[in-house]
Amino acid sequence: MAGQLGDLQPVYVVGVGWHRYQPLSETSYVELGLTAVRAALADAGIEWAGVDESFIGTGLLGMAVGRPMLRHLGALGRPLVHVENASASGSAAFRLGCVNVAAGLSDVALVLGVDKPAKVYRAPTGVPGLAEDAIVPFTHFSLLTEEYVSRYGASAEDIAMVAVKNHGNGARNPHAHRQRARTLEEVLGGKQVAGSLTSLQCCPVGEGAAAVLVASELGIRRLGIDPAKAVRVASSAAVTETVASSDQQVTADVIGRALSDAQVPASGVDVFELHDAFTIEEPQYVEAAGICPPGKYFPLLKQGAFDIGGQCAVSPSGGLIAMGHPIGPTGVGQIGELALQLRGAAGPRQHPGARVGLAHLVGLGAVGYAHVLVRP
Amino acid sequence: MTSVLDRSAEGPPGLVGGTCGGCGFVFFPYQRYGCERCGRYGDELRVRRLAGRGTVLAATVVKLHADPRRTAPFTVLRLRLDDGPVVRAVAADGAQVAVGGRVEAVLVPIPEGADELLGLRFAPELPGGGV
Repeated sequence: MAGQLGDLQPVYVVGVGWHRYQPLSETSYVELGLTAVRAALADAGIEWAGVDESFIGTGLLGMAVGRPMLRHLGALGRPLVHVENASASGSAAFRLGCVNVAAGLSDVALVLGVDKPAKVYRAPTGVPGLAEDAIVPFTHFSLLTEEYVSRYGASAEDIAMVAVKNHGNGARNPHAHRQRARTLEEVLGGKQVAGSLTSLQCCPVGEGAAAVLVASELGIRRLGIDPAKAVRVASSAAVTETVASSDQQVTADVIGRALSDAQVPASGVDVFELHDAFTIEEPQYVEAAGICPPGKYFPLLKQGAFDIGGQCAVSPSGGLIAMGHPIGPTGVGQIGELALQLRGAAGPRQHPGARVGLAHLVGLGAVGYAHVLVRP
Repeated sequence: MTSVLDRSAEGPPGLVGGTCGGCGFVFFPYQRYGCERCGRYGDELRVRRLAGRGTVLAATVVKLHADPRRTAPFTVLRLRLDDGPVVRAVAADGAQVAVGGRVEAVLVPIPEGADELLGLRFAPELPGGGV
């Protein structure tokens, strides 16, 4: 039987940092990445020399971009590896960093997500398709929207309310790509994309960086890291889609495993950062996680259950819709947000009493990741 | 690229799918790399003609599309073929399609510079179809 992160020694997030997510600019990826790493080192109160190895989540920058960036932190010489797993590249890098620290191969690991928008090349599979040139991500999620609506009933206004909530959260996050609260009229009045989807219900793909430092108890003691900064990584789960499953099934499977491994019930999740690249994903994944029953998301949304201060704060960072989705940084930034929330250090977007956080991403493929973080 | 269309029979065009000789899984499009359910490959994966008929699971109108070869608006369908596989396809222009509705494959002329190509679309099943 496959093992769990919890079988190994405890691992903690001890430092977090960002370069703000933003539209494509002249800023080099090196500058983006170094800004996030230096912020994370300062947050943990450690020097670069204390980092044993680095995991770099990136999907769009091309081959071997890590050393030309990290060399500017001073002598390197330590292992680094690049991790690509589509939207979940940062989540995959985080999992690997946690596993190596938990296994005792390193005391402290850097997990960095960094990206800039670029055209994606995917080698042909040789398997023909029917209408693949007509299907882009928003088309896929617009079809899923229609399926949700025909099964449970939800109006275009209901669905747009997800974006209103997440833009409101993003307006309180200095790292977010979109930092402007939006009214329902603004969300519905934006550019029409497909079905009832409008541009403000789709995530922006920009540039940015997010970094977290993970450490063992030995690393925390040896480097004198303030234990109040440490948030325990209680579980890590990863799955892939099968011929019979879907993004929602992948989510149910991977979150089910992560919660079970962490011995936390779905009702115990205080803060949930999820893959809301498009509005319809939030109801689907909140229901798949078991945080509310199938078809019951929208009535609860309208009661404020998923607001900061509600039953479970869903995407207090702003989520992919407002925080943004620069690909490599996205999954790492979710972990950073949870760490701030569980430390009680999230400022104007703090969810009161946050003790258990859940991070979730789905990457093209589809691959699914979930991590549970717990305040010790 | 191999054609995914089978026009060998009367009626709506069929699709070139496959059947796994090991587990019976029916799939589209045909390939020999390996069965997505059980992993058997090569000659164990046999060509199977799939009827170009199915039931709509979801439909959405695309209003914005970056690829200039396809001009919005157009309607994309997710449908379950009568032979089993779920596929995504484009609806014929002007076709009235709804979730749960029956559709069949049609070939429609598509201008391509000075030439004209035939494109695969799905449209509501004609009365008497599927018999």
